[in-house]
Amino acid sequence: MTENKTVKIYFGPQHPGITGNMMMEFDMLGETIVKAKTHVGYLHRAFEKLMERRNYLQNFTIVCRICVPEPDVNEQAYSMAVEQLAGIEVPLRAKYIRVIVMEMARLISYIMWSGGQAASMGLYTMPQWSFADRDYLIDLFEELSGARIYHMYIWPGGVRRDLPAKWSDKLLSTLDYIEKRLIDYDKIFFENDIFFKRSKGVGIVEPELARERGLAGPVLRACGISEDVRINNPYEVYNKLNVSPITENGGDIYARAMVRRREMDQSISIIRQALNDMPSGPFYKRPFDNPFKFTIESNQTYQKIESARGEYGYFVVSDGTDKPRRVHVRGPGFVHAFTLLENLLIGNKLADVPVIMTSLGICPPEIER
Amino acid sequence: MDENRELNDLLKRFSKTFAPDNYSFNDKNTLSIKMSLNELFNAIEYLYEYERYRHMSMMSYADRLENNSIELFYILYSYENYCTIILSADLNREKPIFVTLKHIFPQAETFEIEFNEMMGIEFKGNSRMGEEFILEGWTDKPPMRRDFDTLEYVNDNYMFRSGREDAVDVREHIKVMFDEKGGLDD
Repeated sequence: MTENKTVKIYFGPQHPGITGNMMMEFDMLGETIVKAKTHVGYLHRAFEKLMERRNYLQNFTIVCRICVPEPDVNEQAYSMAVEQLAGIEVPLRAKYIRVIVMEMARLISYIMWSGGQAASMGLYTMPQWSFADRDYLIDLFEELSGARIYHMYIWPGGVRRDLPAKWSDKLLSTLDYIEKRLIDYDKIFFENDIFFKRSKGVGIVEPELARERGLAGPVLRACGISEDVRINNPYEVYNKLNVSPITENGGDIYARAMVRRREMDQSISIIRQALNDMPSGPFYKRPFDNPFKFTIESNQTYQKIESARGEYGYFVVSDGTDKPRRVHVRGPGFVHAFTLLENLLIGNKLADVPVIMTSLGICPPEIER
Repeated sequence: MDENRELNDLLKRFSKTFAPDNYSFNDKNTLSIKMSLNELFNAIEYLYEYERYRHMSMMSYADRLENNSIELFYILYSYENYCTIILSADLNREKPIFVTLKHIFPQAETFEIEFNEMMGIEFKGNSRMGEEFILEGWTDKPPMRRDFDTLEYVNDNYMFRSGREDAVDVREHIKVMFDEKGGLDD
């Protein structure tokens, strides 16, 4: 060390401070990182290869498993791609239901993130609270779809079933509860001095770098850039609802956290609007005589949505058969975990690694697909 | 066509310099253009520099086994007009080679390493070609090629467990339940 020799440290894949099954390789000079390299490959399950051998509908059992914290965004983006390629229409009521599902998914993801972000700083009350509160929303998903995590609820032509009786009332009362809990979260986490000291001025992403490297979601908006797919390329009925871009300045961990915190309030507002404006009518329009097996002419499309972690896209190539020629998933983690993270960690302390990683919303399964 | 006005205008400007093989509008904000490989790099630079398509959403590929080609795709997005362009060209499947775009889009470097491993595409100028991305010590043909037989690979390389002694065939079990009891039990 006295001769400026570096020490190599392998961080993960099994480490409480790493976001999922990935590994970082560091060259350390004392406590400071001088070189960082991302390694993945611990979760590769060949989803994209599997999808080439299954028909369009069978693939719904696969897509939701690509990201555990946010399975619904995969169903939504893949459905949009299939619908565009096959020219399938979605009834208006189903579009409103999809928006509700997407915002519930965002809320679940942010609640889960707030627990993870707090835990990365040693604030362990927050994950106890947030994971318990997340379960109230998961209960609603169970009632809606029959499944707690992998819902397979959105499919081409609409959604699998209509909202159950009195489900909307339960959702509204759950939102009231979550809204009150967010004030508690503020007290123990978002306004906590420890959080302030660990996040202000740490892991700064400059706006120029954010655009140059293709960053997305809260990471991009925390640099003051108002890029949100829901607003700039609205899908379903987002253009009929009051949704505004939420940005912060500074580009540090604190700014990213504040974007997410304010977006939690906005998601609650969007769900309330959607429930209020939702028309009656069909929730599904049968696109083909046999919706389980249909062919799509040769073409390709890229469909994207705004997930809790940013632009989430599906590139699908059809070839005239009942199976896709190619399905390629674009998760924000793919970009954030390599060119951004490897550069952002240089000069930071080892203790800040989990804090920075959690703030970037990296999800290894969507990198390996 | 009026709803594609922005992209129609772009296509006119684009066609003055390049000769697209074909194009189609996916929706009012998305245009797909297929072109020859020797024009692809210049076309991407043109879109980045002059049309300000500064965000690369992703790169992708599709194995066109029947044409002995691999179609390489670049999906570019403009922060200014919120439009997307899917640009593509065919590579020779026997020797798929293109150039790196990491000097324009730094994140392209990671995509290129992955594509090299999974599809065997070489990107000239990327010094990290051949680096392991997901697979370790892989010597077989690139696994995302359509003629890579997954089942054959699994049968050749993995050992199957014999299964539990009390394991029952699920389909047989369901059939018995329906036949004997008129439905599934609890």
